[in-house]
Amino acid sequence: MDQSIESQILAKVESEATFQEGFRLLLSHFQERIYWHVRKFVLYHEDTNDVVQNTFIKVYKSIGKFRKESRLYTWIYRIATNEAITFMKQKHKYDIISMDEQVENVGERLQADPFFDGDAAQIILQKALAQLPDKQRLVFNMKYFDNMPYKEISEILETSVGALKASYHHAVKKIEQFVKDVEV
Amino acid sequence: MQEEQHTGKGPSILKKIGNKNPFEVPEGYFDTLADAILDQVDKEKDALPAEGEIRRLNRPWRKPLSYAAAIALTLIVTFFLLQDRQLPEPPNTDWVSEVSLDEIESYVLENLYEFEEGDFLNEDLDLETDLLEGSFEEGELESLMPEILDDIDMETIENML
Repeated sequence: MDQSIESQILAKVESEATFQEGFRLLLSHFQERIYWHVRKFVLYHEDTNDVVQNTFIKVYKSIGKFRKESRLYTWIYRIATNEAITFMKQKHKYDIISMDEQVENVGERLQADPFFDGDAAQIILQKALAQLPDKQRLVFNMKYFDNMPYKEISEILETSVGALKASYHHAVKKIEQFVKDVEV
Repeated sequence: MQEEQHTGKGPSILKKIGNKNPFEVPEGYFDTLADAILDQVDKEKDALPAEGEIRRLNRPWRKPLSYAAAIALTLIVTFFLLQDRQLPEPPNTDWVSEVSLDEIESYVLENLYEFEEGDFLNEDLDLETDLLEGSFEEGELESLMPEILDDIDMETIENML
């Protein structure tokens, strides 16, 4: 079903006359999934909104060059992931605070965030995630929250399934250790 | 099977926390997101001059810029050509590699009167003098030892003994 929508979108954006219609179809089909993918990584709504807008502006500008070597879905996810990683790097470029302080900041900010509805345990989980490297966090989010098959994650992140499984395993171990330390 | 273990129902602590999405969006956000993105796309398009305008904007710069580039290039080429002429010819030292050590030695012995004492001194001899005179500071000698040992041969050591 997804693939038939992708074909419809691609057929429409190929023609100048139906480009806008095709792009609107693309937005309605992907915007929510991309938003949640980015949100779990950058955590805050305003930041996510910026990243999502930048992602779709890039998609708009370069869909004419999309070579259909991968699925449209994979291609858009890849752009969104790169945008999110770039955004976070820029955001923390001049940070001089320690990792512990960063983790604490995440907890405090989420507690005060009107668009975060998690309990204390979920705040601890988000704090545990904040200490992971970008790629490990992405893999964990895509697997744990979105239940995405490894094959799909592998296509998006352009990493082998074996490496992804190892990455997820390491992430889980670190999170478990973090939670145990907090509980002690 | 491995795939099953990595779903949200996996490890114990994570099982307790659960994999519910704890994030929310402002009400009606997704209803307006597509329009907001398309507005942003339009703004970016408006901010860029049309293709014809880009050409027109570029035109006034082109001529003076190309003249300036041509003058700069001429000056640079002239400067380097003149500099090349002013450089003295390097001395031809090819003959040095063609003369054997024996030939040099016999020449020196035959024309010994033409040489002064200082002509035979080189850096190694200076080093030796410094060693004998104890003009090295503490520690300096230790750092020089590997270099000294590399340069010294068995015959010299035997002579020293």
